[in-house]
Amino acid sequence: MRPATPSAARFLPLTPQIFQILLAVSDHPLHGYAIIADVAARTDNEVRLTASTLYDALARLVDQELLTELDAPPAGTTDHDARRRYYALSDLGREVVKLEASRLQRLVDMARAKNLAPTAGSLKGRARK
Amino acid sequence: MSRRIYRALLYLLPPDRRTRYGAQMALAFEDVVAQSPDHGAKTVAWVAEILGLMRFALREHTQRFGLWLDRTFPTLGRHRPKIGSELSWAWRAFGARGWRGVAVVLLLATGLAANAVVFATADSFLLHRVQYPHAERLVAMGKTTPIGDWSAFASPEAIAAWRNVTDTFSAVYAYGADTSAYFTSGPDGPRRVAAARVEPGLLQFLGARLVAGRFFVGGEGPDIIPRPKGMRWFASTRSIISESLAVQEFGSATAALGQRLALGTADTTIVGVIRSDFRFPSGSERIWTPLDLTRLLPNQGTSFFEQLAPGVTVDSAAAAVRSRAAAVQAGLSPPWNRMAVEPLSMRRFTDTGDDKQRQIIWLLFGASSCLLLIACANVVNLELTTAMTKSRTSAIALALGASPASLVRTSLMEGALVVMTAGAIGVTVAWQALPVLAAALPTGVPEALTNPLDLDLRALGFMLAIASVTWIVTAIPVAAVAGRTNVMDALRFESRSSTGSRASARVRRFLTGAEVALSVCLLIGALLASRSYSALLAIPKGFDVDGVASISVSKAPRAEITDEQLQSDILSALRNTPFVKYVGAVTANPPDNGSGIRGELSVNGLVSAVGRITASGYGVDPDYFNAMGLPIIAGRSFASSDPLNMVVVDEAFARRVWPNGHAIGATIKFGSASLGKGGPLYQVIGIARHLRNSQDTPSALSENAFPLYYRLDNYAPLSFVARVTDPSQLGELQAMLKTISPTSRIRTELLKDRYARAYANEMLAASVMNIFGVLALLVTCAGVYSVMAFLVASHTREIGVRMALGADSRAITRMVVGSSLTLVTTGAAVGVGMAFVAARWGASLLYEVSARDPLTYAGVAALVGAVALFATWRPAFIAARIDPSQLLRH
Repeated sequence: MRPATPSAARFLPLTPQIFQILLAVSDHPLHGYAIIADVAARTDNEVRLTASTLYDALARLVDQELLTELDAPPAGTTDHDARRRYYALSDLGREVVKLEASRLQRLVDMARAKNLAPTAGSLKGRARK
Repeated sequence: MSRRIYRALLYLLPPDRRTRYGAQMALAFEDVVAQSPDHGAKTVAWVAEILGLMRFALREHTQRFGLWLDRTFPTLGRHRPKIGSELSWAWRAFGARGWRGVAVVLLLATGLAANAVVFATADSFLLHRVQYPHAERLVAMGKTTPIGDWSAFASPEAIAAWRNVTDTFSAVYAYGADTSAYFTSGPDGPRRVAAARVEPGLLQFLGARLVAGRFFVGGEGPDIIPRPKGMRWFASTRSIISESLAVQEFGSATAALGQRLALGTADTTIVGVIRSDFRFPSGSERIWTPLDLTRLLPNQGTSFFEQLAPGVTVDSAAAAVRSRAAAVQAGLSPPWNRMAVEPLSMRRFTDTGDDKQRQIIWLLFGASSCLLLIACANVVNLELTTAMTKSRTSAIALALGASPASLVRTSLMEGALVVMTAGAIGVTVAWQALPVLAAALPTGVPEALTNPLDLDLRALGFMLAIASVTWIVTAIPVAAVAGRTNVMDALRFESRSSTGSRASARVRRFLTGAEVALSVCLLIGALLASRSYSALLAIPKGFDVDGVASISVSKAPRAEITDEQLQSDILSALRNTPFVKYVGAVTANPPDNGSGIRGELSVNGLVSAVGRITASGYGVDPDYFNAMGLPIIAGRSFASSDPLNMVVVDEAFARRVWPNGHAIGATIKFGSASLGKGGPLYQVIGIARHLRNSQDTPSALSENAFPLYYRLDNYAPLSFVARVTDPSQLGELQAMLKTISPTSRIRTELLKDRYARAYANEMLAASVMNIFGVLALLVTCAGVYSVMAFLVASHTREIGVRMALGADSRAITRMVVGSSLTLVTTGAAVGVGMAFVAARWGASLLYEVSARDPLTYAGVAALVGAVALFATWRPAFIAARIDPSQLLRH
């Protein structure tokens, strides 16, 4: 594993909400409500964002250059509303998400070593059932 | 509305954040609420969004305030982290409050919501009734009509003449009802949308704002269509409509432009759409057509109003009008110049003219304030208890270096969070409650309000103000306790400071006593209002009210069927309906007045000593009296063969004109005025029991509009009364009538309900007071419980010692119950005293119930006592089960 870049490491650890927001825009840029809906769907409503929580976070993430606000909707957007703004993950943001994921992975590995977390195999088996 | 509130709250954010993210946040908020599956989820989402927004704003401002402090007072910079940590401590403390926190928030939310609802109502009805620009200078001159109504009505010439009086009026505008209404087609059947004629410039003058299109321009009036016999008919060809109607009928404001709107028998083209929040002074119109005074005939009059010139008062304008009235009238064309110069009076737009309504709204204001005070007293009680139990935590914080000032600040911040949360819930509750309240008002009343009954910015501002006061009232005592925390006392385990000093126990008992007093006062008011309302409903109406249905039909303008044919079809269908016993046609259904007839009364050819008299004429067919169950107490009712000049008079009229009897067979004449086709000379054939109408007050019969029944000729009023054997089948009756004329608007209701609507203000007052009363009782019950439970908990050792010294469980129960009874009895006595004093003010609102009715006072005191005893039962039970051996061992 390569060492964490100092500039990215200073953002760790991320709160679950910030981590989920960054994950939501990792594939393609999304607008505000799409991020709320994506996070709610992926976490089975465990992480629910209000509009203000989201924009409070987005404002900080844009200031910290983890996200970039696009000037135009991404290509292929069909039902574009001119009032909506889209947010994309920056290179720094991607680096931070990876670092956080590795950090969480290490924590889970430690728990597994003490038999306090299910192994990857048992999780796959449970998913197949 | 929720969108408007959210957008308004966005102004809490710092300007740069609002500019950059405000619109997007509002959009996301709308999506989140819209995507919530049901009403409950929407409300939860709404509250969460509002709270989140307030938290975001608070955080942004705190951060900026800290940065500003750093820049402006660099030496104070070291305190900045403290403020941040205090705020986060307050957040954590707020989150960890548990059921007591929930109770506090709900109590305050109830009080705040009640006040917001009552304020919004008062604002719409009294405080800010008129939203037009320079509303305080808008007046109408008019006169009192024969049946006691007030009307501002004049000929085009007179209006032009008053327009020239520029030293008194800076503007005069004419308007009038456009009787050709628009019928919408909806799933519930056609609905009638009223229209008004307006002079070009009037809508702009009243502050209407365009959404699309344009206003009327000068010279744009109705087209005149010639009719037989030299008559002329006005038909509008252009219209402006309200945005709500445009959206409902055409999808959007822009889509409505250029569309045709069928107004009566004429087609109009929509040239403009104005915002839905604009309300026209004369009522619930949502369509406007142009009015051009030059196209009216000299004998056609119209309504008008004036704007006072700057510096002119209402009194000086009224004096100017009175001095010039004769000269203005003399210059008019016939027939206006031949009329007697009526005494003109001046009314402001901002006047309510309804003292009773004003009194009722102030009464509700008093009641909602009482409820908020009760909630505050309870909250202070609970908060003091929380502060006492937290004193050990505070002491540890002090021991670790926190300053008393920081404890006070944290406590105040926590209080602010409590009040903000309660405020957000209160806003939601009020927002949901106002449409319910509007629905409870009589039909047409909420629509006619020029300031709509909703939670506007003024109401939100008021709520913010009372929330701030609530914060001061509830947070300061708690902050004072936090600031006086003594480390040594607090850390000593069984010290008195962990359970409260003698002084704080006294404060708690005082607050609970105050709650009891206010509740008793509120409940007495509620019970008196309910009894008065029941007495109003029970006033004899003169006829057998049970089972009489009123049916009124508005025929669609372009229906193929004639009025006469439709009336005949409806009458025969009703006569063939098994559960309809009798049916009669009538020109107006009570309690509405009939057509006014006024003139100098002549009896048997001689001028009567009664002089000028007014009657309210109802044109009826022979079955009317049977259908109404209105007894004929002398003479007889109409027969089909009777000539049209026969009348049945009202009992009160007969008593007034023929104090010694001899009414039957007499002939009467009201000057040259006549009703129907039988006049002007009528023959009295019967006397009917007095029919209560809208001119009668609960305590006195009007001398101004005696009912008078005349024969209905071939005129078809399309209004009926039917005596039904089963009132629950009214829905079926409506459905059956609908099949006869599907395009007509048909209203079927019980006459009893029409009468009840006359007392809608009293009904509203009684209902709201009862809701407040029950809430107050519940809050007081919780208050008594909490104070007694705390009393028992803080005196456990004392009780243990007493029991060890020989007191049995009965004596302990007696002690706890006695203590509670002393508290409640004192509170109830004060409450009864307060109600007794307030009775002087509220007596005029009551009917047939004394404001100092001993039975009501005693009943409420007993009820509150019983509830308090119930609340004391559990603490007393716990006290009686204390085991002294266990307690003293520890």
